[in-house]
Amino acid sequence: MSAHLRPPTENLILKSLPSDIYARLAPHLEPVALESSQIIHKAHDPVSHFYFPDYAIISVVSIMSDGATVEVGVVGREGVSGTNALLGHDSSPNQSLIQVPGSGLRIKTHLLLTEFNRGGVLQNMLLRYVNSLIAQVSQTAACNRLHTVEERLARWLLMTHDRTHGDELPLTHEFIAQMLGTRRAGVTGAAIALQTEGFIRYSRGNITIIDRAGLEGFACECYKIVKKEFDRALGNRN
Amino acid sequence: MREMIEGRENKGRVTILYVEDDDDTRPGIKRLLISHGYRVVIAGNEEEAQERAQDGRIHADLLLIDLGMPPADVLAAGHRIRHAALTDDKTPLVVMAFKYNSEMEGQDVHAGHHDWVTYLENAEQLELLIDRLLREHLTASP
Repeated sequence: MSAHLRPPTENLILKSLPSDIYARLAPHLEPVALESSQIIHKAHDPVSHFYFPDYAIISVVSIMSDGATVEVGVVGREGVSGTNALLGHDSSPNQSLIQVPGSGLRIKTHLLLTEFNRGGVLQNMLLRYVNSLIAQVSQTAACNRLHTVEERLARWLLMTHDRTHGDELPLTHEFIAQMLGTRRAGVTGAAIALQTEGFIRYSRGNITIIDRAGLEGFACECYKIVKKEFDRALGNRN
Repeated sequence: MREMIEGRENKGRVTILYVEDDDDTRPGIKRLLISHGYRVVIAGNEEEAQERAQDGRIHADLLLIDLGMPPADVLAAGHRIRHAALTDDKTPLVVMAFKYNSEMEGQDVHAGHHDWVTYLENAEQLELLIDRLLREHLTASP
């Protein structure tokens, strides 16, 4: 396949695919703009498309009957959204929405599944990714139960920072509170702690990472455990 | 009276009764208040706040309350605590709303003569509101 037929993408899975596999997928990959708070997979609805984000970030959230939400997983350019369909389920009890806007490529579910079911490199790569996603989800569950909101916020900011361009993250307290499953005032208090330490600066709707190393030192162990799993799945590509 | 709350050292004489039932939220807000020089008395719920207030060992200059209920219910709890504390009914009461959309962010809503509901957008908003209310309250007090 000639290089110009490759839709431009920063998605690490798509970039890693051998040319012959990518040639079969490319005609079906549709560029999409991913807007802030856009819901791409509704809870319990069939997954119509897989989404491969570039620098957009997708949050996978669990929603309780009273409307309370908490993020259970995050998908950026290292991954793909809709993975339950790879495992034989066409829907999920969780909802996926855009945390940080950007762009990506999407493909109809049955088309990717056809290629997936051929086995080989794509299947292997996606299964390794799913394994790292399971590690992320389980570590997040433990983190939400065992660590302080300051540590969780630090971990969450690092994960978001890894998946975006630059040091400015367009995030409101409301969104962060929903993602961390804590109260607004809890986010305010945690943000103060990180700002006082000189790790971040917060202004209306924007968080700027100003001391990444300090933030890594402050965050709980969960960040490094999950990052190691993703690095392993992607063969340490970044 | 203005001097009482301007300097860090002097602010230490000013006491805030902080009622917070959320373990996640309590440490950060407490740290914020202490870093601004206030003496902070913590209670985990309304009953504990009333007990602490009734034993007469504290005199709160301001009540700051965050409970996982609608603002009207938290205001009512705040009134009961203020009454139990036998503080004058002009003691400022600040309720931190716990659920709201982004349109409300950054607003401080006057909910009565000395009652406020704050829809926090950041820490500075809370600092400014508390500082202003204390300044007005302590200046007006005999």
